[in-house]
Amino acid sequence: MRDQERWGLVALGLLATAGGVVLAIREFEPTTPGSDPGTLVSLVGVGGLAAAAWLVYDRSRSRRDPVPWSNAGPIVRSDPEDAPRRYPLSGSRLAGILVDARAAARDRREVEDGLAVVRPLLRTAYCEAAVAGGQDRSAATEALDAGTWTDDRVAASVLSPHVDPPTRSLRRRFRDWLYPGRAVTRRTVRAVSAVATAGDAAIAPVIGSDAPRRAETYEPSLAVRDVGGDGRVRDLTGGREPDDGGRVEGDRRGGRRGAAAGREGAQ
Amino acid sequence: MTGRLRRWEAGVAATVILAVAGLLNRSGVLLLAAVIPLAYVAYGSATSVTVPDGLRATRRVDETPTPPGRPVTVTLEVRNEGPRPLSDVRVIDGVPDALTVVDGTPRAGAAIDVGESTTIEYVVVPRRGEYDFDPPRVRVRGAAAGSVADATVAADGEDRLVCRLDARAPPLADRGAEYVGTLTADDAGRGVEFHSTREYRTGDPASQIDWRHYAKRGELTTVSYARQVAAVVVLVIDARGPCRVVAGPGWPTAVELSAYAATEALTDLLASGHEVAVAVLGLDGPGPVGLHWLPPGSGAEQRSLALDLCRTAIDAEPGTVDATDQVHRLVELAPPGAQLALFTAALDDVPVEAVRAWSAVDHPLVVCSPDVVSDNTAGGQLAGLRRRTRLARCQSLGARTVDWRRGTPLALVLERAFAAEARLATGGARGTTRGGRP
Amino acid sequence: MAIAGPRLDRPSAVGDEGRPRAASLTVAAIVVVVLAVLALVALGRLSTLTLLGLSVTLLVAGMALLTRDGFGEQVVGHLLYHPGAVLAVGLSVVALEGTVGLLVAGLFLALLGVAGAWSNVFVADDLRDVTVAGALSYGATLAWIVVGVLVLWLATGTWRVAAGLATGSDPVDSLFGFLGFLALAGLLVRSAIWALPIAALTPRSKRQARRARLRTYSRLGTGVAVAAVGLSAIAYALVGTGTIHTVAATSPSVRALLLALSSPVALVPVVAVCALGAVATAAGLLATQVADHVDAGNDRLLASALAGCCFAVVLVSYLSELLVGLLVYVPILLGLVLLAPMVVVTVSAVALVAMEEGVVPTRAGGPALAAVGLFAAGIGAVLADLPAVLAFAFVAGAVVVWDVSTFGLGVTVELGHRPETRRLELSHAVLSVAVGVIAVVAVTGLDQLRRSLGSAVGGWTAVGLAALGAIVLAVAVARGEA
Repeated sequence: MRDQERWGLVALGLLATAGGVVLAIREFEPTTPGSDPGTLVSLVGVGGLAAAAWLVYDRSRSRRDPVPWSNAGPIVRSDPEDAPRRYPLSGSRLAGILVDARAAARDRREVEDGLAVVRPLLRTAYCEAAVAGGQDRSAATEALDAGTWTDDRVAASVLSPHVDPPTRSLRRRFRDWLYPGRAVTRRTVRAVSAVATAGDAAIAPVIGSDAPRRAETYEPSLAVRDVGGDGRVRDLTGGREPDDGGRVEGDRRGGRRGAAAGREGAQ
Repeated sequence: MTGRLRRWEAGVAATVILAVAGLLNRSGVLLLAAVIPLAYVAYGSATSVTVPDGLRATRRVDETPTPPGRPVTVTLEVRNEGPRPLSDVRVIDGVPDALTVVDGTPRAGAAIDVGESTTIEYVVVPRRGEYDFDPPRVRVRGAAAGSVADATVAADGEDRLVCRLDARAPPLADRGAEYVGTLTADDAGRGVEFHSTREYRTGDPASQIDWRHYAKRGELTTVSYARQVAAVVVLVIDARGPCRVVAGPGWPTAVELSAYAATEALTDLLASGHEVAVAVLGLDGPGPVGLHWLPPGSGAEQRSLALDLCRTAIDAEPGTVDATDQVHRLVELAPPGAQLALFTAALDDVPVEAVRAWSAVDHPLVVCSPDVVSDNTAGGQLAGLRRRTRLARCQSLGARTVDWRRGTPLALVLERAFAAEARLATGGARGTTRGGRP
Repeated sequence: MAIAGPRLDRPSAVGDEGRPRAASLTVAAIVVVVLAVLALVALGRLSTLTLLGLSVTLLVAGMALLTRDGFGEQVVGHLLYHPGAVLAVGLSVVALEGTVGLLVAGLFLALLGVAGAWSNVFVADDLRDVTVAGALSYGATLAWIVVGVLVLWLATGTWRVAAGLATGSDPVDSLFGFLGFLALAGLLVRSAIWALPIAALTPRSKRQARRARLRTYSRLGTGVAVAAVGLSAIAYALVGTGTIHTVAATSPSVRALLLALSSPVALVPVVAVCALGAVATAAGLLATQVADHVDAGNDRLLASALAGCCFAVVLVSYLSELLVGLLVYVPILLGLVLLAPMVVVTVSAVALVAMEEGVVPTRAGGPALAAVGLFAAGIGAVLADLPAVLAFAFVAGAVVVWDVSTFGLGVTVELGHRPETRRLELSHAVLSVAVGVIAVVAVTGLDQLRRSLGSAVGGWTAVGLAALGAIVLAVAVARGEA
């Protein structure tokens, strides 16, 4: 039916209903029925029953149309911003090693055990950089063992079993005992940063490393690099809109867990 | 497609409950209150909406064809050229499935007045291929949001994003006499690049007189220019498995970026008159040890063969043959005195060993390395350090190494890589390397 | 972007994807709060708002924290959720008695719905977590109470034995008692050293030395225990032969010595060492268990256990205080405090089932609750004899909240959470509220009209007219909704 017809019918119906109601209930006294609990109970009961009946009836219809507030559903069925992931990400070797390191640390609740798993990779990286910069390999190894390659004692203790980390407060020690895996991750991230700084200082600069970047640079955000430095899945946005109207089994959990992991790994 | 929303059924239910409650309680207020949800239902269902014909969409892709790895901005403008203003328009651009949006969003919702428009802008990073945009989908709502109309609006402007290796390298015939990246000889003669000055001798062409010097001193001197010498350059693309990694999902792999750099380089070199050969490491190709090899040549046909080989490098599956054998085979195949240019991501030690093997045989070496490592994670920092270490090692082995980071224009990188080196006309001496800061 | 909102509302913290956009939610929240304040002011009970607000805040904040993953966050979640739930149950029990019961209950539901929509807790996954956590901590509370009673029984038993020894006069008993306690002390010292993670907590440089010293102490403890056991074996043999009795009877100094063994001076330190050793062993075992669970990701279980312990402590101390005096109220309070969590768990389980079956639309749980709450408050306002305009405002408010929230949900579903849509939502919200205001004004006018009319038209004709009008309207709407 056309718009005007509908408008007319609606107005008429509204007027008739309102007028009839007004005239009909003129006779009702404004009552104070609150003192009668029976009425209240029956009221609630009837209302609840009616609502439940309607909702159950509605549910059978809603199975066809899962999103109740939008008749035709979402305009797009899936996230247009995303694309299928075909190739592995770069720089994910450390993440795999960290998973093993954390498991090793949890075995005997010793952070040292976990660091021993990560140590060879970091030592190799530093030694390679030192040798490429002209140092003697044995001198570099000695510097690693003695911890003189950096000012950061925590990093030095990660790369050498002979260097003790600085004394931490009892609270920190308790936390490391409770969560040895996280302690391994924290110290490894710190050690990697120190190794990168020291290594970059050692090697001769290559043309282009600090060339001007004239074009707009878009770094892949942490959200999309799904194997972060701590090896955990970190899809921080989790922004996929499901088309079943809300039954999101894993996404949002991934979002929040991911957020925790993101804060965790960034320490 | 138009439709009405079913959420007003809750309003009808509310009316019923209130009416029942009012009747049960003999309460006039409740019965009157039942009119309110009814009014909402009426208001919501009274308006209808259709997608007006006056919606026009225009899409602009800021560069197509585009080389891989270069962020492309897509702008979609939706204009209301119809008779009435639209209070609620939601637009979603049809981004191709294979493209990732790295910045901005292809969705927007706004109210568009008559004659006004709303703009969507987002950035994608394409890999090699052709991508067709679907027409944008539009959903219009009435004033009460009680009715919905969907439509697909055909977009004027571009609906295809083409990403090709030779997007910035037009065919040979179109190029002028650019001398970017030419190799020059050590002795003076005709050319373009300044080499030296000497005293004027009778018979020197007037175009080579240094007039500024004459204006200052009153003496006639002749400028000699560096003489271009045609040389053989072998472009080697590292297409092994470890190089097939990306910086982020949807971004191009290191192999793709290497192939793109090789394409630009070969176009420049061919235009300057050099002979170019192409080799691909890491695949199972024809010939012994699986090395893909295109013998040196020049001209348009060589260019198209070389382009095909670059494309093969990207598309083929990594092979099972040991790359070391392929490196040694390449030493046998490369003409003496040819310059070897290696395009590799330097994510493991094989390229360094290759450079070592080639430097032992006295070829001038160039290493150009695209950066696919992100340093916003610890793993990325470590991988980045190891990569820079390998590049420094290549440099100390005598190769001219250039680190191509994201955001640095490739032309700059190639210019540095193939820039003028002193070189004897007879060949044999390797180019000097510069280890200092640029 | 939120116009105004609670601190929990950060997209990274809450997850913007699943709930209505912030602008719509803000409007809905404002509507609910304004109506609540108006109603309570009209009732003259504005202070109820603080109670309602407290309960809702505790509940929702607790639920939001219970769905997080960190151990500390979950413990705090438990500590907020249960008191809030108990408070809510108590409020509803109290409220349902009076005339304002339905109104207050409706306001509570409305506030709960809005707060839940903001922090996105009315989602099937999260409700499941909350229900499980609630049940777990309830079970943990009961378990801890049982454990506490056991420990108390053991301790008092030991104390009585020790006290009996100290005051007793039999030298043989005294000897055996002392030796028994000594052996126990030695064993407990050894077990404490074994259970406590002392070496793990010392700095690495001093660890070797510390370990050596601990080994020494441990051996000492074992040695003492063995010696005590050996001595008691000898003594038992001597008793068998009757030697000790005769010696004790004849030699007063030996008897005095034996009695002195169980005097407070000798016994108290030994018993103290036993107690400390037991406590240390228990603490060490507990800590290790906790640590094992914690790093393996069983935070939920652990947090429930810890929260249950806290609640058990609070309950026991609270109840013991009560038991001193008001014996009459104890059953009621006990029932409330012990049964209320069960009620809450049941309610959330029912809600979870309703959501999973699709009776309640999953993402619209919060707005639905808010709308139902306002609706019930409207009916309750009439029952509580408040001015009619307030009842109309409540009903209109319910519809406005539902309309605005579902619009916001539609925006999220269709456009994601990145585009800027505040103007869109606000223009729709303004329109919605305007229609609501107009409807309220019109209906209030009608109400005034009806009160002032005389009996001009018969009752049944008017009812018939009203029914006809409603049918016409329904037809118009149904046809349009094709």
